Amino acid sequence: MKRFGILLLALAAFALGQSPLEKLKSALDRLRGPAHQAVYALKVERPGSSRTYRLRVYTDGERAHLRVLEPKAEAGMAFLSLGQDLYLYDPRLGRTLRLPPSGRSERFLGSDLTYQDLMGRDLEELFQVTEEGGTLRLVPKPGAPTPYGRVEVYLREGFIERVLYYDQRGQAVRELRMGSYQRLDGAYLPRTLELKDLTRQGYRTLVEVTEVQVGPVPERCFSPLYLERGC
Amino acid sequence: MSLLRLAWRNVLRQRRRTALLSLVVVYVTVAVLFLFGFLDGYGESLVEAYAQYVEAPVVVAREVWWQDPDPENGFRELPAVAHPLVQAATPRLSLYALLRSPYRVQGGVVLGVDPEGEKTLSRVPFKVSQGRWLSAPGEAVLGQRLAERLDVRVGERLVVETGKGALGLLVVGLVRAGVGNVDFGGVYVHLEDARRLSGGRVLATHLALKVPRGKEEGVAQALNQALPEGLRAQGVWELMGPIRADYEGSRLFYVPLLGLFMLLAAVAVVSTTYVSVRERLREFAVAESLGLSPFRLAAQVALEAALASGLGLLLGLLLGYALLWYTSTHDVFGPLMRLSVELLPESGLSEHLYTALRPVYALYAAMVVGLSALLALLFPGRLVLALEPTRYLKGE
Amino acid sequence: MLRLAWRNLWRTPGRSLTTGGVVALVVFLSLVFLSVYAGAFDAFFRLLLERTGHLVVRVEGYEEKEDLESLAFAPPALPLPSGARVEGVVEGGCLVLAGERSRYAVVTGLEPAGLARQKNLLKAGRLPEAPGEALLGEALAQALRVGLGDEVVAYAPGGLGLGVYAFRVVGLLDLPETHLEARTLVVPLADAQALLAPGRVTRLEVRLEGLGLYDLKPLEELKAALKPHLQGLVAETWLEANPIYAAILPLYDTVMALYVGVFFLLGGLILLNALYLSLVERVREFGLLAALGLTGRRVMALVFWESLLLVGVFALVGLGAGLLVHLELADGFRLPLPQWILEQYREFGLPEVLYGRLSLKEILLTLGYAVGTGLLAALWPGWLASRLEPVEAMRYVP
Repeated sequence: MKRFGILLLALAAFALGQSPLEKLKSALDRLRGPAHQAVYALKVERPGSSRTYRLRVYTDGERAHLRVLEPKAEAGMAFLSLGQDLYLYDPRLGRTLRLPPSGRSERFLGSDLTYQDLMGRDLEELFQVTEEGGTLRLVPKPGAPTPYGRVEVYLREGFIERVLYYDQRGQAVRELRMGSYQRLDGAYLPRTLELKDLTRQGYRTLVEVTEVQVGPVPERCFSPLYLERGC
Repeated sequence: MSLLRLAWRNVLRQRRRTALLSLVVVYVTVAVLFLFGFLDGYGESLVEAYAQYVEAPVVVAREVWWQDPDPENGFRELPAVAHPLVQAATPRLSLYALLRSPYRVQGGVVLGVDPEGEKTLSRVPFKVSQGRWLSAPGEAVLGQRLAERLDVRVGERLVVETGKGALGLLVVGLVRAGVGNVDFGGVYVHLEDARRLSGGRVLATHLALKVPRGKEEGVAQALNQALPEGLRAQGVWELMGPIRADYEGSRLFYVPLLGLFMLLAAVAVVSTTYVSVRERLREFAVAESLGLSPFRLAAQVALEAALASGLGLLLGLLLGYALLWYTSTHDVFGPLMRLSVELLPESGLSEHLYTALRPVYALYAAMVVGLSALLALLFPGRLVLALEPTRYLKGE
Repeated sequence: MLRLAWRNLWRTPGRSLTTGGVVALVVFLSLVFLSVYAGAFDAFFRLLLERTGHLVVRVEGYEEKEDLESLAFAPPALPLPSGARVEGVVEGGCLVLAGERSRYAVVTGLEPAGLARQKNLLKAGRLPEAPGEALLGEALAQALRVGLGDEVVAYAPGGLGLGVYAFRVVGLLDLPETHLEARTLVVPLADAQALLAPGRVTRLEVRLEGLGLYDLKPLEELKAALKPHLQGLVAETWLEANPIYAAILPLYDTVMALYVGVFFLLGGLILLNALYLSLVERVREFGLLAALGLTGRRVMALVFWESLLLVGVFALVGLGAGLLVHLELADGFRLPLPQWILEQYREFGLPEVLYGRLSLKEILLTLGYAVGTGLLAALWPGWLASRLEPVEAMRYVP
């Protein structure tokens, strides 16, 4: 009874007094999902053309290991994000490369996605959060290495539905939209993501999250040593 | 005195002739003054650009940093620099970084500075055309043309990244210094931010020193005697890039040319003197028979040549210095220099070039007078020395 | 009259020789300077042409575009005249990584002919012969602390290509401009395409044979002929592609004319002096000629002839000497300056060895100046001579 009382109290406090930062944290938890492995299907659309990639993803919510399965030409490429450190393995290079921090904000595989979109918690670490009319409004912390002037995070029942990135002149430049979320063992993960480059017409990347297996990811998956052979 | 008066009378006797040959001397004098003023003005503009904008009057760094200017070769502790002529010193940390605006990315050298210390020896803090100079960490000041190229404005954030870290810095000011390297490539950040971007292991890469104008090389040499091993000081001329060669090359090219001009002017003076001596040989013969020594007469001829060219020199100095005064106070060469800066933005050229105006040019130009006198002594003077008075007096 | 003028000149051989010597010297120096300056100017522009090709084809509005996706295009087939060659080039920004160090550089992918052109810039090593081999600017190699045989990785994500590619450094390039050298990575075209934009180029360079450096007319004609085949693309002549340099070109003739004018003004003043002195010496003679019935106009003509003969003969001497020296210069020369200065001049696009150039235009300019100087210098003495009163002149005592 006592335990139930505490839980009730905690829930009430959660509902009534959750700060914008806490809201962002829990929404990011749902966006990144629980520790899992899955296959992400990427469709990169360009005016008059499109390409599809399949990636195997291992993540514990903080760190992520991505391996390209298809197409054949790029198969074997692997990326590892460990906080600020980013590693890349390319079979044509035949070795693992530590990328400079700038790599995190670069688009990869010719898509509109950056590593930050799929991994890590840059929205929480680089930005200060306020809330306006149910929307989280993020502005860069002093000294934060982000080129954006403002980010708006639209929530729906605690889930991130849409992230809008603005340049420093108030113009929206990127939009990340989440489709429905799938419930996995008490946790959540988006089923689909759509990323649009708002500065160029016809530039869009769709991500479909499939073959999800929730559960602890072996630690070796987060070691650069295993980037080449896989984990 | 009477020799001078006599020579003066003879010079004035043929006013047209004197005026004509003076014209040659006037022209050469103006050319000498202008060219020296231009060359020195060019040199001064380079020294000013490098001493006060691009580098510093004297820079002290580790020997290895001069070879490989990477922060890892910087100072782990700042050296003490003592010299009576050092008026100010400030540490700087230069590092290569990637500059990322929301729209563009470019590599460049970022200079970490102490905002207040920088004001003691650099003109850059005073050339902020938009916004303000650095005051605290987290800020950046950019060269105006670089900001245009990166498409970043005052109040916006610029991401500066190195292999060791990344920072988003608020652009608080844009500099318009009129010096290519600053306007096209200048990135100034707080020393503390630069230390963070370099990995935090070094305090600075070099020490910038302010010393009086003209003493740069001397102080650098003196410091090199006293600095601990492994450190080396360089004066502004050594710090200058390849553009120094253009200046030195121009001097090597134009100074002999001016020498030739002066020689030709002296030849013109002497040919006039020659005619005038030949016309007056009888007069000289009389003077010699009255007891004047031939050497005195030859000296008189030389003096006449000197006086005639001296007249031209005076007028030339007047015109030349007037021209130099104008070009040293008006930006006549501005358009030419601006085109040069566009062509060679990384050469440290300044958009303005004002000619120098130094009294010593008068001395250089006066050489034409000496040269005329000397040549007059050698040629028409010889006519007088070889004169046989009796032949002339007989009317032969 | 001509014979009289000629005879008069040789009555004061010393002065005539001195004045004529000045004229010859001025003509000689003008020609030598014009040849040297034209040689330097040509070298400057030849470097541009060599880098750009005669015609450059790029996407329309390329100046405003930044990202590789909008700058790269699939090269169309171009109907080129025989003797013309087209080369595809891919160029884009990338981060070059070597161990702990990285630098932002421009990676340039060249076809074999383009790579072969880098041979004279090669400071060490050899040209790339196989995929994965690269030439690195020497300054870039120093900044990255790599040498021949070392590996560097070009990282250029976000484009259409792989975004990352490893290269073995097989050669170091010594570019004239250190700031360019510090961001130069040259690789085989296919490698650059794999890295940045498979199957695409960012520009096509068209090179023609047997064209003079400033021969722009055939280029304009070819540009017009290519236009219908360039959809969404634009062809520019090498000068149009380098607008700041194009702005200098028309200034050259004016600057050179002024420059030569400085010499001739001095020569003219000295000539004026000489003519006046010669008049002064012969006032009585001119008076006699006038008394014998020679009109003022004829007297004036005599002075003009004397001036023109003096200038003409010695200008020809100067011209001959100038042309002889020019022939030497045309075979290649170094400016008589210390070696360190010559090395630094390379930074501004001036090679150490230059080739003198004199065209008919420059020779005519010099001779035109000479004749003009001869005429102008004779104007005043001639006028004075024509106005001499015979009686007064014959009584003239200096």
